[in-house]
Amino acid sequence: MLKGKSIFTVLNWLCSIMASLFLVLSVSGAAEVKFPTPSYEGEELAKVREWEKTWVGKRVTTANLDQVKDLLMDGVYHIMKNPKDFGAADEIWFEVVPYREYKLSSGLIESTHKYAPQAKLDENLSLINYGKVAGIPFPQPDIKDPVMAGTQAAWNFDSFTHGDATYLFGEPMNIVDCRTRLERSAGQIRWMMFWSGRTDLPPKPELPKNKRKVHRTFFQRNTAPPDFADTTILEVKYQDTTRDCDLWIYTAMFRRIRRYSTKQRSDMIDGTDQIYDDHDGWYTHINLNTYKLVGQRDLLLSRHQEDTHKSLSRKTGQGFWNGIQRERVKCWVVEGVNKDPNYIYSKRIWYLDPENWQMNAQEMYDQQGRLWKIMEMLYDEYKMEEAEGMVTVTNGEHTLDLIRRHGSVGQSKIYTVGKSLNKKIFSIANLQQLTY
Amino acid sequence: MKQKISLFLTLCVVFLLMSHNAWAIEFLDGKIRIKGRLEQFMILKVNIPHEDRWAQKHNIGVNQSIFTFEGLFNLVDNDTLLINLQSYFRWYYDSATDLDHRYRDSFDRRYLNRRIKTNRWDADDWVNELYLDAYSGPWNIRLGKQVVSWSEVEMVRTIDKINPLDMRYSTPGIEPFEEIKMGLWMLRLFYNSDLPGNLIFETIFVPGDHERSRVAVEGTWMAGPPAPGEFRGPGMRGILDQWWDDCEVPFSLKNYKFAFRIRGNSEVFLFKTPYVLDWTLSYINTLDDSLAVTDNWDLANEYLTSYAIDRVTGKKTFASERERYFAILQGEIPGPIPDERIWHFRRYELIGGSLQTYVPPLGSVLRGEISFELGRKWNKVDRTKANRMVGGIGDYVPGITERNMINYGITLDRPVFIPWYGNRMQRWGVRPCWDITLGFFQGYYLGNVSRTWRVSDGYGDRSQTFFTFMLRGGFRHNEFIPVIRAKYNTRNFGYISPAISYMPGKHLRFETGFLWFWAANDPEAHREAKGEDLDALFFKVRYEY
Repeated sequence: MLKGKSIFTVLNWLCSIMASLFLVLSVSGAAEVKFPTPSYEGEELAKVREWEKTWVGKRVTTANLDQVKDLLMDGVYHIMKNPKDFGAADEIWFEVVPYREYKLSSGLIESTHKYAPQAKLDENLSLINYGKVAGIPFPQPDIKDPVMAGTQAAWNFDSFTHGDATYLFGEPMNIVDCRTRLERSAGQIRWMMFWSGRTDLPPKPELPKNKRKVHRTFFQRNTAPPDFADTTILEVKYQDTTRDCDLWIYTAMFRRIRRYSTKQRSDMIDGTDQIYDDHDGWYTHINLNTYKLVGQRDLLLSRHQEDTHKSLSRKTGQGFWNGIQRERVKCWVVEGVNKDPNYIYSKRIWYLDPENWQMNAQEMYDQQGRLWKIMEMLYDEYKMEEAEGMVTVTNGEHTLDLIRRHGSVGQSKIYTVGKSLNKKIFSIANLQQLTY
Repeated sequence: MKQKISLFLTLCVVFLLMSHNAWAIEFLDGKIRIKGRLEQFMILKVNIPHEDRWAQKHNIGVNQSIFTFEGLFNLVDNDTLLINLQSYFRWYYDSATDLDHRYRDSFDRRYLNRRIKTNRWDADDWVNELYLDAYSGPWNIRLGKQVVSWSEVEMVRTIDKINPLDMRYSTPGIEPFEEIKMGLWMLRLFYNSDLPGNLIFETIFVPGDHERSRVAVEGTWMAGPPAPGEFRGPGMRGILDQWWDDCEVPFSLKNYKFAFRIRGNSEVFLFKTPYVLDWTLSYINTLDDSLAVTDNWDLANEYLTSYAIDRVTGKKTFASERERYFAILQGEIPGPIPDERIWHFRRYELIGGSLQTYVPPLGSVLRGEISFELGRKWNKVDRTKANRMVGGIGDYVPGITERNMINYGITLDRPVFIPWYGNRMQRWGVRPCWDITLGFFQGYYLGNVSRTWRVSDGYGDRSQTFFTFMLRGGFRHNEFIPVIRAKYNTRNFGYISPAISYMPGKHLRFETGFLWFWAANDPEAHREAKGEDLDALFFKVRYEY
């Protein structure tokens, strides 16, 4: 039987153990939710700033390209080294701008701190409670296991909602044959909204009355070419990661709302260089691929591209933008291989931003393992209208087919970010309204 | 002089549009948006029999110049009310008969409108649509001339029967229905409810603008060969055109058309798989626009026999037949076609429904629709009468009867990815998938049909069955889009049409293809039912603005 001093000793031990446990858990918990995660800190940042003293404000062209070769994706280097092959009259150039850390929204930070500690993947490497949680689930991927880390990085990418709702005008979106210099143009007004996994706009993390368990909706009204003007598209992605998206298209030419199959996601989008999966980098369920973390890479990519209608330029027939404002960023490099053995790409390489996990760039390889396409998305930070803080949205992009020398280039005017959109926008009834 | 001014103005518009970029043209900060096209459409017949050369020297069957203008004018736009004026104007001129004097002379003058060189032209034909489009809360009112699309399937229509069709220049399947529908002046009301299924209620009231369908008359491309002999009057299709002219009703409330539709969207589970169903239920109460009946038997028979005699008393080729018919009729040749009104369109009702859904196990979209036509009126025939030898069109008509009819159609759409092909071809800018659409359609007459007179298909069957097929791909990033369309009736008639369109830039569009028709009928016994005479190459050049 314990008496006097013994009781005190046991209690003392228990308290010590409890205190140690608390300390360990607090430290480990704090480590798990370290967020935001700047691209560069401390000594690394100092080195970048030193490098920027030489390069910021400089125009990089074919002539001085080799000096920054290590900071460019192979595809970008190849295109800039052979500008005439990609439709340029003389040269393709970009401008170096200083690295700036993203000012993440308080909603994203809070959601990440709230939900990340509980984030787990199931045996199929799918995110448990997908749609019911929000924020970046794995701010510090488990780099000891490349497969786990790559998968976690992919879920991080999927979880960034760009302010939950976006309304923009993509025009012009051009399909460019760099060899013949022939172009076709399209214009699209787009509304996108997350119904679950919301971080910034209340209600969070999910809209009420979401009986069909919608994850995200996308509505697009075409403004060009003339024969496609007022053709509208509604796409619904569900939380159920085994469920195909639903797609409705109102074809103005035929005055009819029709359902379309989304099964063949390898099909090209309206003759562009993108397939349906490529939209916004990756536009469907994360668990259709297997992933592997390749590592981290220092690259020059566009994260703060000013008004693309002023800052970007190109000649007719040029499939790659001039005037991209590139800054240093240390990306997470993730390799994705589709589970379908007949998939059109043998692999994709994603370059994910370490701060908000957006996809800055992507490389696609053909079945023979050759680099086939590159895709770069140009971002800028926009103030949210109904939520606190800033988020990034793509305001320009280009996708280049390196083998066929063909490109798809686009610019966008961002109308609203982080502003609630009426659910009725994403309704079948809306497909046919206000059209010719 | 007027023509020169028109040509000058057209050229000015063309140059103005060509200097514009690829977007729909906007004025007043987007309050006015316009778009449209200039198009040249040519049909080159490839199978003109020698005996029909008297009616056509060259092979051009159609040479239409088309100009369309679509406008959206934003009249009111505030927090509670939005009013737009929508318009779709379409002018055309067919110069085929200008280029071929034989072609021009082969038409009865009554069937050759001077302005458009075709058999019928109403003053408001160029206005395909013109309506006010007002939105307030859940309400949407559309008032004016409109084209309504209620169908889910293509190539055959079952419930989409608000607007009549103009089938003088094309046929459903080759052109979309929307291109061959004629607008009607109507009131259309929508209510977008918040009820489960997001129900949309739609009501249409056409207060008397009844238009008949239009068919090509003998000698024109879509009608097939000219009437037998060097007969410049109407043939089998021409007489149909005359009947429908005879049926024409004034703009009056009693000739109203009423239609109602509910559209919903529901999710159901089948074997634990969710299906999102888009469904509609519809009702139409309308005067017929393509089936004419008569209750004046004596006059109708006189009319038919007169017509039949006219038709078969051709000169050279059919001299022997003429003698045969004279013998059958024992020399009783009736007088000219009477002037009195004989034919009428009668009212019938239609109840229908449609459904479309994505079927996950098949990766396909399934569409289906069904219609139940109630109380459609038909004339009776008495096949024992002597003049039946003149042909189905001359059968005796002792009365009117009613028959109900069920039509249904199912299509399955699926983009098919062929792994070996898709993976390799996309590197060359070839679309890796081919869209395939398979369709099956059937129509059933309910009740005895042995004594009903049906000129719509002419076969006297109780049912008819169609299969349809469409295959569409893409080359050079969809600059070239090849399409094959086919339609097959189990009575062994139909068509196959391979075509390819080319979109080289922002505005210009080219399309060419071949139309191969066939019909099972013995061309000697049923001359006008020949399909082969429709075989043609077609060319379209469009400038979209």
